[in-house]
Amino acid sequence: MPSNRIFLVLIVLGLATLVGCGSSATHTAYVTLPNSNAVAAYRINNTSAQFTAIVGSPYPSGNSPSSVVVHPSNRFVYVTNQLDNTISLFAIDGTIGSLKEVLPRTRTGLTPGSLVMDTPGSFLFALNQVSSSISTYSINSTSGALTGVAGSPFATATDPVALALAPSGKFLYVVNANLASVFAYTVSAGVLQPVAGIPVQVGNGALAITVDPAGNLVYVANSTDNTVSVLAINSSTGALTLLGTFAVGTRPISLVVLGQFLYVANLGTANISVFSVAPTTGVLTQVTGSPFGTTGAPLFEVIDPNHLFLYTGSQSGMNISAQSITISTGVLTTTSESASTGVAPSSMAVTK
Amino acid sequence: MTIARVGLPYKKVAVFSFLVFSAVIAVSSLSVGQVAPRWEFYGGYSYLRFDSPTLGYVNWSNLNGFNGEVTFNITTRFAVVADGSGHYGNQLTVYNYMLGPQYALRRDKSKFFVHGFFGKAQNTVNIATSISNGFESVGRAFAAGGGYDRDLTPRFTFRVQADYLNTSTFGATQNDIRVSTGVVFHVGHIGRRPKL
Repeated sequence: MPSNRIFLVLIVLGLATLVGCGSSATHTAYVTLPNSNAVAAYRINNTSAQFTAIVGSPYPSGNSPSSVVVHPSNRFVYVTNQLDNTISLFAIDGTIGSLKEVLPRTRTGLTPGSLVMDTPGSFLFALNQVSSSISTYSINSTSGALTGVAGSPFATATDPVALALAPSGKFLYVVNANLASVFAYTVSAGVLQPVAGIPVQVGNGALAITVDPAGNLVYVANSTDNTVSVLAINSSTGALTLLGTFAVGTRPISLVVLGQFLYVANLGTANISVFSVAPTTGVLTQVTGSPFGTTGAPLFEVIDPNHLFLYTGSQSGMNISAQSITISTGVLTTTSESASTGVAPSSMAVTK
Repeated sequence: MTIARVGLPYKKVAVFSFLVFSAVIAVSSLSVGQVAPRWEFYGGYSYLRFDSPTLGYVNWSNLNGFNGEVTFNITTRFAVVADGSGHYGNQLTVYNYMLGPQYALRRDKSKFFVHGFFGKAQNTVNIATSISNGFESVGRAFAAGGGYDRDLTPRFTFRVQADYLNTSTFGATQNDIRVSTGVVFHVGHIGRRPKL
């Protein structure tokens, strides 16, 4: 019966137009929400930066989560709970990327504000702002469990505000805003030793610090002076030498480096200053079009794992927004992709 | 919490709808059967291609389950259908309960039909967190599709059918494809046989 065949062929063709619905490569992002005592989770399209909230998000954490890191295995997430003085360990569901906390929580010093992890995911460092110390932990690669390193916590100068770890894992740097200084430590099996010599003076109101991926330069955001300090790392000792100080926007609050470009988030002017960096001298030159406006005053920045987008978190805007990066020029272009977090976010980390 | 989203695959839905409509036109020249069962009870296997990226998954999901329908034929062409289905997969359970009209053309032992359904979707994601072992969302559902019946005996018919299924759960819209096959049981009759 010819009409039967025609009918069935048309139905099959119709199905074929819709069944070819595949998938796109993605990564996940985790955002701390201090006012909700929770961690939000999003799946982000690698190509378009489209955000999709993962079912069940946000997931409860401790009291006032402040900082988040993702283990390089993409199996664990660690979050500092600033008012509990603890670290939460979350296991990431391998299928959907949801979080399940593994109890009990790990004790830290008073008011843990920042977290960094070494590249292999062997050690975790938590900066305790009120007790002026750094708690260091070894990480069990199977369970993600934390074990305090002998001698931890290690004392810092009073009121440390931020820390950064060199990609080699051999040196760690701590910023003290009230002293306008950067302190250097060597790292060996998680044990910290101060680098000999006086700390390096930077600008007033130093609140953020980062190390370039090559491990040659350290950048410090001086939020009161509205400048960025650039320091060279002695690859043998970890000692720092100030190369220069450069003007940026008002209240620089965050720094990230991608290739030869430095991205500085300016909280006061709600934009991002982008600089090319001379590799030897550390001289910063603002790129054409910089600074680039953001959606809400930016508090933190994260580069996506494919180096295509810069994610910016805004407390006033209560959102995470994505800007595309032109890798050759460092130029940022606003996209329509964003996620409303509902409450003010404080930090963000992405899977690889 | 609101999320910025890319638009739906309206182009593909439009193509699918056009092809189904064309199929109905292609068979519209068939002579109309004069007899139909009053009640039809359908049950069978169902496959669902589920739009799970809208829930935060990486890939679409292939779910397996069942589909059941009760059809009340008002005339030999027009009917009202109650449709229910359940589909299951790793971490996902999808139920749909819908009702709607159906238009059919009959010839000898064959029946071609199209239908449109509206009702409820109940989707569950079975993932463990510190406060829950799963998350459920209930929302609206609608479906559009059609199928083919072939009489096996005076009481039993073989069926194959396909639907585009649109649901709204977890704050997002899912665009799914459902394909089902099974057996129909007839009760009663309406209409009269043509004079020879």
